[in-house]
Amino acid sequence: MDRYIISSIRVGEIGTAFIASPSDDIAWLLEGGFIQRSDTHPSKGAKLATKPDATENKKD
Amino acid sequence: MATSTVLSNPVVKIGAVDLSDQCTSATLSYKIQALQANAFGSTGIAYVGGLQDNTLSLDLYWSTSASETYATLKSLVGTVIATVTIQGSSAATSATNPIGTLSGSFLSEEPVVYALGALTTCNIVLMGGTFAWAEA
Repeated sequence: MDRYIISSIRVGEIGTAFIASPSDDIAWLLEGGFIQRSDTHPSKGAKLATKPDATENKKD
Repeated sequence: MATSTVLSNPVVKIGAVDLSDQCTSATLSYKIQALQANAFGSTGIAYVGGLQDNTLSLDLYWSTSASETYATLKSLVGTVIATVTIQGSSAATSATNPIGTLSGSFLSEEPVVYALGALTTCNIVLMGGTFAWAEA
């Protein structure tokens, strides 16, 4: 089973596991940079492949 | 007299993506078509409920930064969106803070307005689909 970690605060806490619901479009979330595929479960020290988008101010 | 308070922290999500901080207005039209059901002998127009005919209009700031409005919407134009949810407050869902879910709506266009001296905005209209409120 594929595992994903959250890489955008728009989806949840960055670095935590993304628990997909049946209606979630995983391909769209990956493309938008909201989640990343993970080979390691976040609880076991998974690292984000790219820098997350978290900033103090979400507006640019 | 009970009144509705001004919304200060409503939540708008497209799928799992929370766009609340980019959204300034959400207008929901939860509509069920009224079908005439008259017959000989009728003395007044009678209606029965038909199909849902919903629209949800969202006014959004247009940001092209990572994981912002552009990144969220760019691949959704011309597609059916599984779920869009709206809620008056980020507090727990309840009878006084119901969550509305529009399922299977269609996004036809993504008009972006660039104007001098103003923040760039985008108004999208999600059409069709089925809508339901949930209180838990």
